[in-house]
Amino acid sequence: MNKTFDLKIFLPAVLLSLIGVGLIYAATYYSGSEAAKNLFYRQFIWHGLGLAVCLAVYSIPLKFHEAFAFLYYFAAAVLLIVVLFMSRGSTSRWLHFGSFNIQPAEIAKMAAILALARFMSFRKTKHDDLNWVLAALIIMGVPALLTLVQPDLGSSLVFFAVFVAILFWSGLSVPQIILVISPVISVISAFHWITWGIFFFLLILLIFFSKLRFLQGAFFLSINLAVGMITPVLWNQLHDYQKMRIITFLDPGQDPRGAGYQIIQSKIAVGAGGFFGQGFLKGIQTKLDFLPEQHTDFIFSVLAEQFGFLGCMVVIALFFWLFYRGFSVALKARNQFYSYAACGMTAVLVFQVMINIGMTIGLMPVTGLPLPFLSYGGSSLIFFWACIGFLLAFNRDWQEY
Amino acid sequence: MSGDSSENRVLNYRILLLLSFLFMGFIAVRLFGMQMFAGGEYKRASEQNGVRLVPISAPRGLIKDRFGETLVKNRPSYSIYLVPYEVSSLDSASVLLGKALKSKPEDIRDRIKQGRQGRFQPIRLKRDLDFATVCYIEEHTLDFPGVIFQVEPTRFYPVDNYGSHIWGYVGELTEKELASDAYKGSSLGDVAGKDGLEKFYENKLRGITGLKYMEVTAAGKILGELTDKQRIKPVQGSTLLLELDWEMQKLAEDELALKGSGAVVALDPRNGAVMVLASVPDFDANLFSGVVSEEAWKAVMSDSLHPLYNRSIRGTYPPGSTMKLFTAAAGLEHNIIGPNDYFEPCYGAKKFGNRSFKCWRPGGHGRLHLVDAIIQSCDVYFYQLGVGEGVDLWSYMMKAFGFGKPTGIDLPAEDPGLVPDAAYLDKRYGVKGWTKYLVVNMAIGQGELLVTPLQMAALFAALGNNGIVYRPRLVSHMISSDGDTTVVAPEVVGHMPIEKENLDILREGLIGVTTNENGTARIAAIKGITVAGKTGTAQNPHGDDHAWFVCFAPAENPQIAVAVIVENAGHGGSVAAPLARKVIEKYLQRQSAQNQSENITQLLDE
Repeated sequence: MNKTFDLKIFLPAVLLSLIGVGLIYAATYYSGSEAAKNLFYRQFIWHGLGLAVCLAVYSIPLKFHEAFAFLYYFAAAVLLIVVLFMSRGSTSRWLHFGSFNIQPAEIAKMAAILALARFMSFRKTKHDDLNWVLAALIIMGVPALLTLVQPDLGSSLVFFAVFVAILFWSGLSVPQIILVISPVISVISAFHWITWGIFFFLLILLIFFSKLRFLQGAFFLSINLAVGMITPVLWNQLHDYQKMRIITFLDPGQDPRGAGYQIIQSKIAVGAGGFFGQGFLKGIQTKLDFLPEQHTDFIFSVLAEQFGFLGCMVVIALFFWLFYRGFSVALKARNQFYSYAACGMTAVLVFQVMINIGMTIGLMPVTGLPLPFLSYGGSSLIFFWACIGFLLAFNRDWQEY
Repeated sequence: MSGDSSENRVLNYRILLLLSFLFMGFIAVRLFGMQMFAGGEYKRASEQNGVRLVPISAPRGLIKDRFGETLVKNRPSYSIYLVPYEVSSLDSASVLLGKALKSKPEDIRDRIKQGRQGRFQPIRLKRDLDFATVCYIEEHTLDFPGVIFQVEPTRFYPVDNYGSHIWGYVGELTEKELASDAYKGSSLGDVAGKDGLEKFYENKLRGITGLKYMEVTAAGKILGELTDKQRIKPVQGSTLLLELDWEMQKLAEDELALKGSGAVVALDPRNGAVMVLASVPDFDANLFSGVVSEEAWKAVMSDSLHPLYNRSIRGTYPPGSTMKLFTAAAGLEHNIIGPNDYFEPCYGAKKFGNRSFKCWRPGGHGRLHLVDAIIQSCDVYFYQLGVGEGVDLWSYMMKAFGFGKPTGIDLPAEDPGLVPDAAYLDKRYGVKGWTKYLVVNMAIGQGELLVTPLQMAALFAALGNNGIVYRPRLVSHMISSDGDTTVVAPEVVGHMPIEKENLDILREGLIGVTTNENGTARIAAIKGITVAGKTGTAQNPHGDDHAWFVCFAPAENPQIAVAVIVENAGHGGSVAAPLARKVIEKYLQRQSAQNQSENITQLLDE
């Protein structure tokens, strides 16, 4: 392997993948069904495909991706629209190609990151206004909305996270970022007039001290005022069951038959792991097949139960290693496109790890985001392997430079 | 505003690294807390698999009459559940439980197998246990691992057998129903409406099942509810407010029972509100809401009078002479006869083709015009009118009036009745297997024509209400448990094709039936109010004829329409008409009592 291929990026991904395969083996070991046991082999195949994608991305000249970033973006948007019309049951997240299913949301994540990075790289450095933020918002907002209606709240939040991360990377200050996302905060705080009042007061202070031009300040104020007043009105017009549907959509842990039960069982599994864990294939919770989603979204609970605090720390360290390498690539990248793309991809990684583990230990709502490299599931794995391919390629170009 | 300068980038890079480090550190601290400090507690929970999800049944919605009297409610009862995980031997458990619950061990086994949703999901073995059984099992807890008792609402009909056909009854969901989408989320032992309002308004009455988390020890003993998670309260089903007048309903059923079997329907012609829907004999709906004992079921099913059968909406009878009104309406509309025209006089019988058809009065009625023919119910007159119309026009008009199709009342499985037409007769007797004189019989309401008592009431009501047909409606309001009220508005479902002046002619005839010295139902006359009605006798090949009386009152602006049929009671005038009169009298009495109380409240308000 030549010296431009950064093993420090590649190695943690490989190690995490191997641990993931072992955990899927453990999660399905006691399952009665053959199909469940086969998941372990299938995961190997997915990793194989993922590696191939990673190497392909690495081998194709980056100029190519840079040139086609917007084309990718439009293709992905079309896929997201197509998938909405191919719904099976109440959700429509999958495109079916024979026995092969893909999630367009994963493709869209990659395409949106590349497109936004491309857009940011166009931008001349001294633009003293926030109009470009609106364009960036539209680039991320379109796929975010299309995944939200699937409905897949988790994936649409990923787009939002990338958006915020890239704003930050562009040099926007924290108060400015808060200003940009203030309508969202306004919606959340508008459920009680006191919280909203406090928020609105702080917003006025923020606008005053960030020395915005008058029109911009008025714009943000009026948007927040409108959102804050409309939200409670709309909410009160909903029927109770509609409210409940929204609440369980935002926080499925509120649905005691489904995710609420899973969270309890997941927490028990994590806690029961102790410091050293109960040992490989020894976990009671796993054995008794408590968690229906254990090999996918709740894979971390298998790790925690069987390998304890120690095992968790190893995995967390490996993830942190990846974050560190990812942000380093973003810092040292040779051009703006590489830099923004690396930052966006690493942000997805951080966000999904945070949300998934947080959910497993009961800190975050159940959003159904898989744990990178560990959870079972092809589309997600291929996305993250593609990220690794890009990070390796950005890193190579920097070293060659 | 913005700077991509390298110092900024380095700072942002450090902030991002620090943030992700803090996230991971936070997770690590939390993990440490869960795994190192609380580890023992979770481990215990894990070893005992200590959390059970126990559903809390929602009480079904109440049913009340128009004055707010509660007719259907719920009572608490014990249900027994079993958690399959705690059962080490299915065979011995079924034997022991079978003994305690007085069921066959095989049945218990089947039930456990059928209801199994997961190792830890409790299965409802039996509903509505008697207290002695509960005590017995509680005393022998150690012999019954995995048994959970739940207090659950059971449907209760506190009104004896009255009105049982209206609400129908509830029963446990069948395996097939449980598998269907309509009952998604239901579990074995859940009940649903099987007939009547209980079935028709199942979605409104059902409510939403709640849920609680129970902590259970390794030995299967319940420690109590888990504090970590709050219980989800069940939501009671909506209350149904009926248009029914309970006093009138009881009177109608009592009077019917005195005379045998039959049906009474009373409704408001102005809006279709059903005030009485009686069918006798009735049954005890409570029999079905708990666990149906085999003897009770057999007794109901083998009763030759078929008490489960709702005669008012499913009983189909020939309408007898009550149909003459509609034959007359068709004749007037199509100018087959004018109000002052005459047919050949009645000499007690008339020959059509090679068959002689008798009038009910052997001596004959002589020469009559239409109003007198209605008043005296002359068969020969209407034979001739029917022949004048012919099968095609007659059946076309009867269908246009609303016969042969359901009225649309809010009850399941209403019988549409039958209007024979040429196609039907071809099928039944073969093409050319019948003559045009078949209409002779149908014109006076005998033969193949079939109607339900509800149809008669609803269509007579329309005759009194300018031909406007309302959908008969039992439920007026649905009130959800959080107080949202849905009003079920009156609904016009048809306009009879009869001109106003022709309706007036028919009305004149109907008034004569109760007021004219030759009227067939003078017994139905009420002092101070004009009743417009028609008697009928439905020929019954299986036994004595059925007696009909259908009417509306007051004749000028009807507020109530009543249809009465008394099975095997012979002539309509003497049996059915007095019953209808009593229902109307009760209605008037209720009205004046209500007016008085309104006056009093008004006085008090002033």
